[in-house]
Amino acid sequence: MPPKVFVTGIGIVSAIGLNVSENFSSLKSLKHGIGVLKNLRTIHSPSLPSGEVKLSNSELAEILGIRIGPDFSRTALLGMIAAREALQNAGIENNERRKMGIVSATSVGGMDRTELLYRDITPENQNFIASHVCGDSTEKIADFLQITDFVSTISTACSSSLNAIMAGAEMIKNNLLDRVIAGGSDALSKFTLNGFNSLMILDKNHNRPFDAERKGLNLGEGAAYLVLESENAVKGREDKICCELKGYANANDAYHQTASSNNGEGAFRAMSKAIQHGGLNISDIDYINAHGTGTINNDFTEAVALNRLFGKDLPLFSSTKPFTGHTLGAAGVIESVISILTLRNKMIFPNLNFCKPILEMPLVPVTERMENVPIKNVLTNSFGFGGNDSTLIFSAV
Amino acid sequence: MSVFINGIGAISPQGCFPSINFLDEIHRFDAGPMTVAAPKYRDFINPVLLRRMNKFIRMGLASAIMCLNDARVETPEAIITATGLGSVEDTDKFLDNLTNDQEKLLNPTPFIQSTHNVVAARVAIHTGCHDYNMTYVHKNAAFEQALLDAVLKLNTGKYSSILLGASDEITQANYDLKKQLNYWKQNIGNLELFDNRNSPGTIAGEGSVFFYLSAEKVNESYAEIITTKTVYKLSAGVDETITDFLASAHLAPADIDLVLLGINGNVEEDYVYDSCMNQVFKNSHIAWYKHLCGEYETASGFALLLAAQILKTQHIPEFIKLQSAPTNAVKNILIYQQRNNLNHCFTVLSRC
Repeated sequence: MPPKVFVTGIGIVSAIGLNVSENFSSLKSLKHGIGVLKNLRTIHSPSLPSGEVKLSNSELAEILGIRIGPDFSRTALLGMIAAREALQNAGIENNERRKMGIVSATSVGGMDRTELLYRDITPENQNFIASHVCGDSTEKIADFLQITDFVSTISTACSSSLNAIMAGAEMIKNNLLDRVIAGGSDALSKFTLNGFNSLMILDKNHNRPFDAERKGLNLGEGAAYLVLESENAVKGREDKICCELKGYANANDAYHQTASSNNGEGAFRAMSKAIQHGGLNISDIDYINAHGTGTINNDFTEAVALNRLFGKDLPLFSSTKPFTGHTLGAAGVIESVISILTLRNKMIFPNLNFCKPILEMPLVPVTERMENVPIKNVLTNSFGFGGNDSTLIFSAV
Repeated sequence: MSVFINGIGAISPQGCFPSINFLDEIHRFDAGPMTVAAPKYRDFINPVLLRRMNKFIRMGLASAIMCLNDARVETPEAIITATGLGSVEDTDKFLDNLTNDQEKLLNPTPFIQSTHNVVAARVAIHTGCHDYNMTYVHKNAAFEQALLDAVLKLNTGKYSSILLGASDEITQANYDLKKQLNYWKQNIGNLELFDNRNSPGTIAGEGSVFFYLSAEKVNESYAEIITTKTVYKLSAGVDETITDFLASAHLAPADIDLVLLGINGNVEEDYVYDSCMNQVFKNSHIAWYKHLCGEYETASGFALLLAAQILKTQHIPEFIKLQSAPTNAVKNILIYQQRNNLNHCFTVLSRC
């Protein structure tokens, strides 16, 4: 038997809440977080609704109880809040001598500081330059939580944080670490907002994944982390086990830098390999938290891949991006936390704004909150630029 | 299971690899940045596609193709890349455009090409590789962490071969930005770097190196990867950490014939290596490499190329030596590099 990896703690900050309980309560009451941008200064704030975390950087620092200089990116602050919650949730004391690492994902890194300051460098603010690289936010979190055994950063566009979870799990399975805090963080920035806007894939209204009339995505920001542990490390704390990370896989569409192939090859491979990796059958999957960004291309190709793999036996599925927006590098782990909430509470959160199925591939997601659903295995997808497609499966223990 | 290097492709400030006269003599730079000697990219990449590619992608894709050619392989089983800064040029371009044009009418191409996984993606498209595809970006530890992932994948037998790469580019704008912060020594060439090691600053560089790693040894194999590790903020001293690391691979410091150190001429960083030179490895060859490739986040990719070539040819170029040992045979090499005493990275490879 290959070694098992358990999830023992979760932490999240997103447009619908600053911790797990706030996120859960927003999801339950169908309260989404898409609205007018307040913190990010951009000409697009009236026209491009987004999923912003409502607090300013100094308010985030206050929650953390730290003083911040110009070298603290919003990405680092969001990450620190979510990672701290995950560790507390797992009931881990810092002084326990277990080998602990962090694998964190981000796509923008410290871009929020760079775009604000790079034309106006002064001796007082110049240390922001060191916070630009992706690895800086990971080190800020590692320092805050005193993690030194393994500190790693992954960036594979919008699939980044699922890959970080996978990389963390591999470190445990190979006996190199006992515990890993794995996840990711991405702050909203003018860079990404204008990037997606220049690609003309942002919806000027609330996004509507898998709908025939979908117009694009809304960007979001946030961070989430899971505490992963080996069977051995969790001994004596079995009550902390949320679920098992049962299977995972990563594949590449190898088609185009930004568009997915029409037969959804990469997505199909990621999902089928993850099911196989978990030693499961297609019929074992009870719910899918889809990538479902709301763009014409993603939702069609993801639907094609779902149809190829599951055919008539498609499990219940929904995209929760209308709640949080598309949080890029953090999306995978934010939706992993939502998937774990689904698993733990036997509750499926709906795909908001869905009216009518895509003509060429008419799949119908869950559109209303469902309770008391018997759920054993949940599958979640994240797909990114560069054809990076990843899938995780969480299973009840 | 064992891991062998069966192919290498590189574009570096010292020219391309493989080539007959690679490192016969050292390419001199009178001042930084040390930029790559670009090959004829048209020999490797379709000119229509080439026109739209930035330097980071060109370097990455062409060196990956050189590596696959060297290993006589067309499609790798999986692709793992490392980069510290990714597409610097296109990131800066998109940022400048949105700042100058007040967020209006932006060309999306630089944005599309700005993601850190863009080299891994282009190699996947070029080779039709649909399997595992990963990009590590943790500063100077990115390459060793990518290497560790590859070693674990090969050890578990899930894959029998992996294409592994390390790429970073320097642009004039990025160079100038960091110049303001005194990252670089002024008017010091790569050949004068070591003599000027008592002051802050280093010399900037760039490059891309790909390795074809395989579980199977062939006649052309360069070397065998024994083990690799990264640690953030050492909890013990450098000597003790290295001794423990070697012990995990059943080796002692005396087994190491050559130590390649990440010395970069910056007095604020190089002191960390002092005890390696004076104590632990006083009977080994000690050498350095950053005067060949310059300083960049994934420069240890260049160090691995150098080490693999030394093991294959059994020749240590004089211009990299800092300390000589009595014997000339090289069986085991340790690469140790760190930046700012934060991320410490260790790799051992052996003659095969």
